[in-house]
Amino acid sequence: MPFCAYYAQNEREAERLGVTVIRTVVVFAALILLMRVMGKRELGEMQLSDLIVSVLIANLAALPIQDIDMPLINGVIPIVVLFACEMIISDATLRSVKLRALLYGKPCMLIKDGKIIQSHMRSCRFTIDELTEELRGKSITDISTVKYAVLETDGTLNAVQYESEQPATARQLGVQAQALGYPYTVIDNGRVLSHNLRLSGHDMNWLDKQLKARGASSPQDVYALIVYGTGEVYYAAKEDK
Amino acid sequence: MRNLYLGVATLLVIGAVSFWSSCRVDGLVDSMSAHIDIAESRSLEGDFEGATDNLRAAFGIWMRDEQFRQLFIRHPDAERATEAYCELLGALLSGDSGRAEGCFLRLRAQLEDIREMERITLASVL
Repeated sequence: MPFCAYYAQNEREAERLGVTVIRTVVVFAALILLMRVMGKRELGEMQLSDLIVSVLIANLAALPIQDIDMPLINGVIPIVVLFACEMIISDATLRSVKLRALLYGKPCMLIKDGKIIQSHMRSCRFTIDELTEELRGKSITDISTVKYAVLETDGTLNAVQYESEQPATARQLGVQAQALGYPYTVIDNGRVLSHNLRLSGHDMNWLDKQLKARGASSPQDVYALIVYGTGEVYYAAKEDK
Repeated sequence: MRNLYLGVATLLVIGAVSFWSSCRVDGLVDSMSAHIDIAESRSLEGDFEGATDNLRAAFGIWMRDEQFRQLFIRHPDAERATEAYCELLGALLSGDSGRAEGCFLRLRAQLEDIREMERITLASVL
């Protein structure tokens, strides 16, 4: 093959690869932005529509990256439409109990007063194996100690034991429990978080004293320094400098 | 309410862009079809040179909208239309009226396909 033709062919291949790289970055950025606008819900426990949107988007996002003959806008628009529909549904279900029940269903009580409600187990298509597995995950091995167990709309099982089976609280024992207070991360992998330092009620002088007391010459030597409301400090030096 | 408004606004914007794209493709195909019709009638009369000029005018309209095509039309569909044009031009330049007739049909069918895919109809959805 003449050099010009070989060069032209390889240049076209390189350009196609370049287009694929750029498209991947664009789609990735679009997904991050859209998920950020959607809020924290989709990152936590998923409802039915959240799950559907996540699965669909995962497949749709791959299309404009794999097929560079498809205009990028044709690949991104379905993703944006899905997000828009999800935002509308999430807002509508927030306001309407009936719509929420219609789309997501209702929680289903599987155990009441230590007894399994078999009709609900059948309607929820939940087996005994699954029930005991979920309870074991909550360190509950005796079903008769469970006062209520509810299968939530997102598929998780929540169980509440009888009061006599629950761990005693400090108040019940008449013991004064020490409050640790809110933990503030002041140094994160060598970086001082000034905002958190201020919120914890301390300043750089205090921080310098803490570092000196622990043999650190500078914040760069520290992996984590966390301050609690009681004044206690968790300190971890970096393992490799 | 913020999510609701944002979602509805997004759908409206996308709907508007889709409608605009559909109208733009309609306009593009109509402009080209006007020149292609004249080219075909000239070709049938034996005026291949005149037909070639009209065909080139139609292709000029096609090429002027290259950015829009790149952004909104599937590349294989656009490339097929371009190939149909080139084949028709070859037939006209060689004076082969029989082949030119077939090529005219193919070019029209290709452009109509592009137009139909942009329209919101039951057929295009299914």
